[in-house]
Amino acid sequence: MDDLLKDFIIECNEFITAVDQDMVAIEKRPDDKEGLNRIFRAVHSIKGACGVFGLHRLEAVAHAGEDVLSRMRDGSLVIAPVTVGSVLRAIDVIKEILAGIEATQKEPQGDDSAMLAQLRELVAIADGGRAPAAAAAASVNVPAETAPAAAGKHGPALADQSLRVTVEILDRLMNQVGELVLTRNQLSQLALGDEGSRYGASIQSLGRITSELQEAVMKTRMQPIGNSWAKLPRLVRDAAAATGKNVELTMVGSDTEIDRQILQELQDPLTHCVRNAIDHGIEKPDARASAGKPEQGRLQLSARQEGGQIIVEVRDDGAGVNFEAVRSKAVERGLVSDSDAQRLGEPELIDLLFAPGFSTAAKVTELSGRGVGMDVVRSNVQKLGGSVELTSQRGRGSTLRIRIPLTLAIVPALVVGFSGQAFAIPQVAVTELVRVSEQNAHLVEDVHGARVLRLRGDLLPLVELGEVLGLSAERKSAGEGFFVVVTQVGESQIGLIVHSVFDTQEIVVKPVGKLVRGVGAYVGTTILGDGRVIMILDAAGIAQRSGALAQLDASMRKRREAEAAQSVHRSSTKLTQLLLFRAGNGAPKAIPLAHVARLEEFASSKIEQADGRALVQYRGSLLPLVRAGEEIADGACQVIVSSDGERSMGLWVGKILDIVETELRLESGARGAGILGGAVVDGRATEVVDTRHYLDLAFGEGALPGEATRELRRVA
Amino acid sequence: MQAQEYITFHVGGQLLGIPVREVREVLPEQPVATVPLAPHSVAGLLNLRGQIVTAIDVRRRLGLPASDGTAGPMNIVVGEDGELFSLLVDSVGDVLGVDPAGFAPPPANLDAPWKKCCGGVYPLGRGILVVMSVAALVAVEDGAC
Repeated sequence: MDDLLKDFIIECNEFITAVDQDMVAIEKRPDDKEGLNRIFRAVHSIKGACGVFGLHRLEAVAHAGEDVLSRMRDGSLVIAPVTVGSVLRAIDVIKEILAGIEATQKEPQGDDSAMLAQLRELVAIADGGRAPAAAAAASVNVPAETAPAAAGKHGPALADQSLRVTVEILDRLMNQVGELVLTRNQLSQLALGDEGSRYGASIQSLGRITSELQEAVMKTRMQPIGNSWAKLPRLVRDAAAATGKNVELTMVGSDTEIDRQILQELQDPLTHCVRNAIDHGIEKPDARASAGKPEQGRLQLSARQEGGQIIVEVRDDGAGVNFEAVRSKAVERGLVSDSDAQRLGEPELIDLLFAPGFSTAAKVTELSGRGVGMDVVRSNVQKLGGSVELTSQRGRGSTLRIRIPLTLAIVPALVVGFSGQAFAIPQVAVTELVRVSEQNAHLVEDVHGARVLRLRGDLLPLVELGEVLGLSAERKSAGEGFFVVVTQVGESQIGLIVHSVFDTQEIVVKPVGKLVRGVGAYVGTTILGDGRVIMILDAAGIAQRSGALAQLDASMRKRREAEAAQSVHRSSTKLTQLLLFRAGNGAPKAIPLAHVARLEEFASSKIEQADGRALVQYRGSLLPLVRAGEEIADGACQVIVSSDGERSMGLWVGKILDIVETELRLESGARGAGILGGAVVDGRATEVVDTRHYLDLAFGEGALPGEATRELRRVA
Repeated sequence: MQAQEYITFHVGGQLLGIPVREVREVLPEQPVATVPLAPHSVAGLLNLRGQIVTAIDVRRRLGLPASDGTAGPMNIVVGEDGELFSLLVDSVGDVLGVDPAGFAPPPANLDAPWKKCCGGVYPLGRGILVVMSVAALVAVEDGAC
């Protein structure tokens, strides 16, 4: 059954049960105004929702019942067995219809004309001021006692299977599970140094049960994303009508489940994006016809889960972004100078769409122009730990892609220290961790007091966490050693300088109180395994406070320009970025950077053996590890995490060396399984490894050469 | 008329009180995690059996100098608007029942931070009980941060 209809039935059954009780009570105590109000509201609610589902019979009965109840409420109809009886009969019919819908998903047929006539008669009596008792005796034949027969026959089966639980209880449960997770973590930590302890097995099963419990509780907070889409068809219809457009909305993946809190927060941005697509994206029918497109524009809303993220897309087949219009608008708004605007490429122009106070519509319309721009959409999504990207093809349409985490409540985070105080940074915001010590101190440079880090040819602005937070103005020199947490802020990156890095942990995000919320540097707070309270940093807020973003945008723009200039060159020679690593004693090997999801280092104690395979706990699940060479020694291991969207594995390598850009030559598999092709790096032939092969190894499937070649084409 | 009950506490030598029914619990000194950049009156956050509690340094809130006493502050945990707060005070006294008839508005010459937080006073046999408004003590200060 349609979920919405199901919810509706459950809700109605609850109303009706309450009404039954109230109605009976009222007969005994006619002065119970509150009870009468409750009944009236319940019947009114049922009537109100009928229209949405096209339940005409139910609507008619509820409507007639409501009319009578409203007369009883305002006193024009006395509350007597006769009147109460006829309302009860109407309620019985409502019950019957509901049971029918529940059983067959269709409104059952039936003749209610006699009962409806009776109810209308009562209304007429009340409105005409006649004495109801006399009239009832004369013309209305009401059974003295109406047995609630229907109630017994058709029990509300659906209601028995689902419970309504207040969000408060769920949140408390979530909280407690969070505490349990922390205690489990703490216990595992204690057990680490104590191999073969007699508590080992118990701790392990405690760990497993805790994870399962956590998952189950998280599930209770999950709702199908379709719940928040219910209003969109109407919105699309109205928006299309208001703009004289013809739009067909399709929704895919509405059963994708997502944390209810995220669902709520996502509602406004999504509504705005849909409005935007109709208002700015899809053209008027005549314009579409002359462009050779069907008159009806298509708008597709889709949701799917990918790893720990939900991807929501709003795709239209409209005109696409008019980059010239964006350019002139940006100049008009004073966002960029005329000469700069001409040099901006499409990625920068799309970035400008997300700039505060930007609107590409020729005039601010009633639909989109409500002072909420795409900048608000982006910042709202970022607050949820997500990201927004827009791709557009002129004349073909645009796709807006929102990525958001599945849940906000428990997130993996990096715990870092600064001046003796610990902070957590959500992993989603962390792209990389760089250790600065005497050996690589030369990479940190100073530009008029602003520190930057040379990172693979880029200048990464460094932000002193202690300075931003007002902890200390004393800077550690690069020689003294510190860590740089490379953080993604929107489209830009900054490096946060911290003194120590402790651990990555699953932390339970707790909201900060109103007094701390205004600070703008934290997304929440959490309690560590040892009971300490630490703050969870908001990378975007920190960047904003430090003022690094302004400098950042300028440097990013320059880099993009350089890239754009290079891209011409690149497309002719097809350069591929390769990650170089040492697998064993032989020559370095390489892996296409596009195949690398992340680089990690695990302590040997973290690696578990199961079924002859190496596994490691990683971001809440088990990551299989595959050795890239025979000779790789046990011990602390460097791992290249690679994923094909569904499966992830860690390629266990000897040492990660460098990233180079070179030409990749494809080979037809003559060199054996696991080799994509070759490349010349520093004048030496280097084997380029096929991650697909290792994924198959990790998951125990045979290598599929055909698949591998296909994958290869995509990369190359 | 029923007597009003207040839990009494001392801050900077002054006898203060808040209605007993607003108090969740009273705790000895707790470890407080400081929150950089938080408003001045926020001493930090503390962990109360897994719940995050915002600790308000009542001395700072009322513009008093930091305590020179060796004893750590006591915590009076209160709930306000769905959030938990802990009022850090010098010491906690008895619960005092007072006759509502004795209630008087705060003296007109109180200084600004006190005026904001003071709901009224009860002249006692010895001294004056200053009734504080919990809502005002934990309110977001104007111009804070």
